[in-house]
Amino acid sequence: MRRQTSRLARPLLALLLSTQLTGCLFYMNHELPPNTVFGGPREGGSGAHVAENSKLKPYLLAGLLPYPFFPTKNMLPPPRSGQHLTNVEIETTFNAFDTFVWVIPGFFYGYYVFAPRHAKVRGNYVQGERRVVPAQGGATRTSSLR
Amino acid sequence: MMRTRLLALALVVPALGAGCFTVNHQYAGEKLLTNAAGLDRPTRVVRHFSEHDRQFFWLHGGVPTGKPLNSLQMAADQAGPHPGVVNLVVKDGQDLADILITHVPCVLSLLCGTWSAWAEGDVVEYTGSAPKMSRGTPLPSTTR
Repeated sequence: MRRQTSRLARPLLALLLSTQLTGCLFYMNHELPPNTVFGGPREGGSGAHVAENSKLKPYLLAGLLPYPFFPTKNMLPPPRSGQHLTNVEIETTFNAFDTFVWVIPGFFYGYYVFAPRHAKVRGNYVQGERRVVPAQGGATRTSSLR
Repeated sequence: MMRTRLLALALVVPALGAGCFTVNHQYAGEKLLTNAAGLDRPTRVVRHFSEHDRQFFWLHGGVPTGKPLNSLQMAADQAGPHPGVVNLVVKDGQDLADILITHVPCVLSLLCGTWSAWAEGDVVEYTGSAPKMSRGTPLPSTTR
């Protein structure tokens, strides 16, 4: 009986790890406020201003599991009434700090204890609200990337 | 002696590794790429897409090869002749293939590694008379 449990446990563990591996490996979902426009020619005008935010996102086991309390959602605050957020650009990287942290704690095995990565988001707040007319036949599906 | 070497390696690798596996999601063209459900004028969805791209890097991501990863450019390419993409979701990271390549033949990413970027959204076209394509001149009202 114990042997059978052991036989079952191994494939279950492998399945669990595979699922986790395909789901959480240093994944960064770049979720921004509604009606954000990405990239494009720089919009200007009076009152326009560029905002930038950079955040650390640490992971356990080489990116397998993100540590809680380090969200990278909505790194830029929603635009105030009478504004819209445009020209958004995103950068993710292991910067010098991340790589240093990856190496030093226990040399290369530190990577499996605390592996941080940085996300940087830059956007342009422009005066004037953006009117949005929902597209006909728009997807009601949930994105597979979320 | 061994400890000194390890310490030296630990100090050198971060210096070499600054900016490892960097992904820049940037776009400077004329397509409208948004996470909103539509554009500023009536549109219809032409098709849905979900794209994935992978890039190979040497030395813990410090030396990139080939075309840089860029989910926004991927989305713009998907738009083709159409004005833009709505319901856009962008993401980067490592999937199972990336992690296997990075950790096994690339020896825990020390020698090399791969990183991935994804983009998903709906390509749209304007309905009715085709207006001049614009990045949405601010209008007085909103349907947010």
